[in-house]
Amino acid sequence: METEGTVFQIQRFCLRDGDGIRTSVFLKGCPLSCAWCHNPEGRSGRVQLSFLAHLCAGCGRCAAVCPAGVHGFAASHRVDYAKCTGCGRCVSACPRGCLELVGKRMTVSETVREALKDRPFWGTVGGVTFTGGEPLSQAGFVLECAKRIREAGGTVAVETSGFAERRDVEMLREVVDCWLYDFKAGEEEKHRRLCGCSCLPVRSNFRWLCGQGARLILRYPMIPGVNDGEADLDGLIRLLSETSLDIPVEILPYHRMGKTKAERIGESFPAFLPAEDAGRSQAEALCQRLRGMGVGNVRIS
Amino acid sequence: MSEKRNETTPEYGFWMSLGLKSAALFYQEQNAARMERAARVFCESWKNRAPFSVERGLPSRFVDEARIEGDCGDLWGFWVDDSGLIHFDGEKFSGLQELYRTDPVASGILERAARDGSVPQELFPGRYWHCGTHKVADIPFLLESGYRGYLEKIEREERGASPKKRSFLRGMRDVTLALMDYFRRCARSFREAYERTGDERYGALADALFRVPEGPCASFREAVIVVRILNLLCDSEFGRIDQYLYPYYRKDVEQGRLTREEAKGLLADLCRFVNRDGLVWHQVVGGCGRDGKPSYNELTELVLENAPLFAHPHISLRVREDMPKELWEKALRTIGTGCGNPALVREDLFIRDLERTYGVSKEDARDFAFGGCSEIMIPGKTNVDSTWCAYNVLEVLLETVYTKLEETDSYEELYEKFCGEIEITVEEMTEHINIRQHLKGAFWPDPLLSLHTAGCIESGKGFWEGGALYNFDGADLFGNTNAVNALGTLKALYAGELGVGKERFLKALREDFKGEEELLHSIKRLPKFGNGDEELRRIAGEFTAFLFSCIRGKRTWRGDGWFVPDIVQWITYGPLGCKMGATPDGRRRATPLADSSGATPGTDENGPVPLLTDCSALPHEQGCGTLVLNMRLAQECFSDGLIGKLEDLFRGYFRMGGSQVQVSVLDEKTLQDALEHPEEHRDLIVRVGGFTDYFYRQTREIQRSIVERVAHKAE
Repeated sequence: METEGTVFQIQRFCLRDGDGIRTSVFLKGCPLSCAWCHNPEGRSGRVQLSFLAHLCAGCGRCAAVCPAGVHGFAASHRVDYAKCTGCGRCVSACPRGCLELVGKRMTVSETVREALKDRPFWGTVGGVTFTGGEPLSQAGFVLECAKRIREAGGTVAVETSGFAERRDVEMLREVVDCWLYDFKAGEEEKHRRLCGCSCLPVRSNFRWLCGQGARLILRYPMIPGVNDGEADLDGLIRLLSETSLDIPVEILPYHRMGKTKAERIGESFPAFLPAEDAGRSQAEALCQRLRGMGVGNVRIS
Repeated sequence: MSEKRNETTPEYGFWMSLGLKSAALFYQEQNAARMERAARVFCESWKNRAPFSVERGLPSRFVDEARIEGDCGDLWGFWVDDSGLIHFDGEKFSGLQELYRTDPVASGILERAARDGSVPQELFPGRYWHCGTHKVADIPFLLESGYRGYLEKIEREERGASPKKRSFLRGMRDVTLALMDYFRRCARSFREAYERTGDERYGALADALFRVPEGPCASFREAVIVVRILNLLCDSEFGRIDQYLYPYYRKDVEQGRLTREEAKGLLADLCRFVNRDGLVWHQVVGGCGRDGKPSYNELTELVLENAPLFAHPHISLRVREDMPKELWEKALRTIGTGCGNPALVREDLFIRDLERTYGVSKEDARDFAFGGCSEIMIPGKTNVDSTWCAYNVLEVLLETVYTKLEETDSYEELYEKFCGEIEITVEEMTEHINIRQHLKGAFWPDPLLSLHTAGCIESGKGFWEGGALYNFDGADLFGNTNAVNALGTLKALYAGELGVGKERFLKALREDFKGEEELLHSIKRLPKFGNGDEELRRIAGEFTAFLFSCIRGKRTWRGDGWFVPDIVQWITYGPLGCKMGATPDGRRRATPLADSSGATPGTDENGPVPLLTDCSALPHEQGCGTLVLNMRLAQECFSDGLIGKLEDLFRGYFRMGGSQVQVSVLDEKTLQDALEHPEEHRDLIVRVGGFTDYFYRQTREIQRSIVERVAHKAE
């Protein structure tokens, strides 16, 4: 039986997920629950129902075909996500494309086949970026896909929180050309509060990869007023000082597009998050601060 | 004039007595070839013509204004212009015929003229209609040899020529001498104006015009003047401007007579009037020389640098595998300004097709250029007549659906019938066009275009008669993408996937899907060309190859030339679509067709990579006419860190067999429209690192903030 993974999107022509033109494979399931997550549909490993309320015309066809009583039409269309079994009947019934099942089981062959359609555009440095969700949670699947991508001449990048068993990181060491490694917060207590888990394995895996001479880019989602304080920057500096490698730091300015995606799957965006997207000037100010603290290699994504 | 004019023929006397001077000249010698007769009119109308003005408001083309002084043609509805074209008003002319009803000789003269005049110069055979043509004069010849060179060429060709050809050549000689005389008068007039006013513009022009275009050019400035003259005389577009101007540029710069900036300014001046008048003109830069070796130079760069200043003319950059990286970057940055230029063209596909299929010599094929909206031509040597045929593929399919759907039992059967109808209508189109070509060839000598296009003097035949060395007729194909998508819908219909039967489907089409919103939505959610659906791609490749093969076999009346298939849309996809009802691809009544060989705008929702993959499946090797692909990229792709990746994108397309692409940048106007009608912009993907989603799926609040962010270039 071929290895399978749960994938929720394959996006082509990604210019900000590594070198060259890349095809990003988004894997479903993540051990973290970062407050600002912009792919909230990637958190759970299960297949989930997604509903775009603003496209709904209230025709009721979904309710008519649903065997589990998910769709209700009292004042407006209400979705009871907990009852959904993922049968998909409402998805085909909706004439406006409001409903979608997020997440699909795919074999290694299917996934690689989809990615390789873009091979002619990868040039010499492009390839596949495994992201999500947390790709290291499906390390075995990623390993087999990555091998085949490299055989076909593509490069492999992995975008990860770093929160994984060491053995999963070791498994992928040889097949990953570039690690896009997330930095979420500077202190353990904050990391637990905002992301739902310890940062110790994250730092430990980071150190190990650096020790291996792996190529890393540190990706810092900047959430103004939340994770860009002095303590956070100190934490970043400490992390970088643990290696002699010159690791580039990439700032990802906060945006609220994750909010609409959360609402689609029946979740909400935490209220304490900023009401406005981070502007370019805010991101630049952060770069300046970091440069002032000795981090020379910093840029905005 | 080469011979003393014989003013004794009765025809001449009759017309002159009425004051119809152009008719008099045209019918003076009945035995002369039409070209020679047209040349007489030309010479007379240009004899006393005032020198062209250098003030602002210089018209883009001044030939139209040439009339013979005192000609009463308007009075009696019969005059001949200096192209040799007769302008005829039957009502007015019948008044003249009434006057001479009792005079048999005079009546005979008038009757013959009326028959000439009432021949329709332009036939509009219903479905396939005429628009205009694009041309590039033989610029290098005039730069290198001047009009004296034409006199020498004419003299050479006269030796041992047939009487008809000699008559033709006499006409050509008369026109050349008239032009030389005209520009000498211009030179004298500007010299006087300079002495009077001290205005340097007059001084410089006078100096130049005493030398060119009568003789060869000795400097870059003179060469630019000659290019401009050809614009004014024959609507000549620019062709391969960086190639023929380069030797003059290089010499002047080396000898310190010209700086890079000055040359750039002169090139910009050439573009100014084109832009002002919105002329759909073209210039080509880059590529290989006639020897096959790469020929990119500083002028290639200067043209690109000027590009953001002008919406017109359009620029194509000929791309080779070995095109320098710096030029890639320059081209991409130019595109990134949002000016829409340059289009990128993979030259080797064109060169190969021209040589292999259309009998073009190896060196000439390497010299190919475009006119207008990318119609293929060998500059200076071609009659491309690119916009005569407007063939609406979607209309043929729609007609097939209405008349054959109910009697066919399978998609394959319907497809076969459709292909049969394509064969019939293509043949009909070529027959209609050939009739028009024949008429135009017989009744329109056009001395200016004939003089300035290589092949006419040599063959002794006018431009519209097939005299040019190469004769193509670009068959513009419209609605191909719509037809491919429609075939996808029909396949689903036969497979029972749409949940309706044939009768209901036809009714829905007839009634523009009113009351059938669900059916329309189902159709819209079927795969659309440009999204990477493999089956649809296969259909597109197979059908378009078949369509092209129907056209490529057809020869033109003119010069035994070739019909060349192309998907070059200009704006015609709008009016054509506005005359059509709803179609099976989900297109609504009276809405535009797809605007290029790519996806119907807004439906390529998986981004540029699947779009280019799908388009590469079209038969580019057989589509050198050109297969234009419009695509849109977000501004952010052109930022410093990302612009290099675009080179990979387009190299990928070319390696997969793509031939041409023109890129527009997502601008504020489009974004505002996307805000109003997000469903029509499903191709807008929000691109942020590590993130995936579509614009149309965002809430309005988020959409607004995205638009604002991009509009303020905060990214």
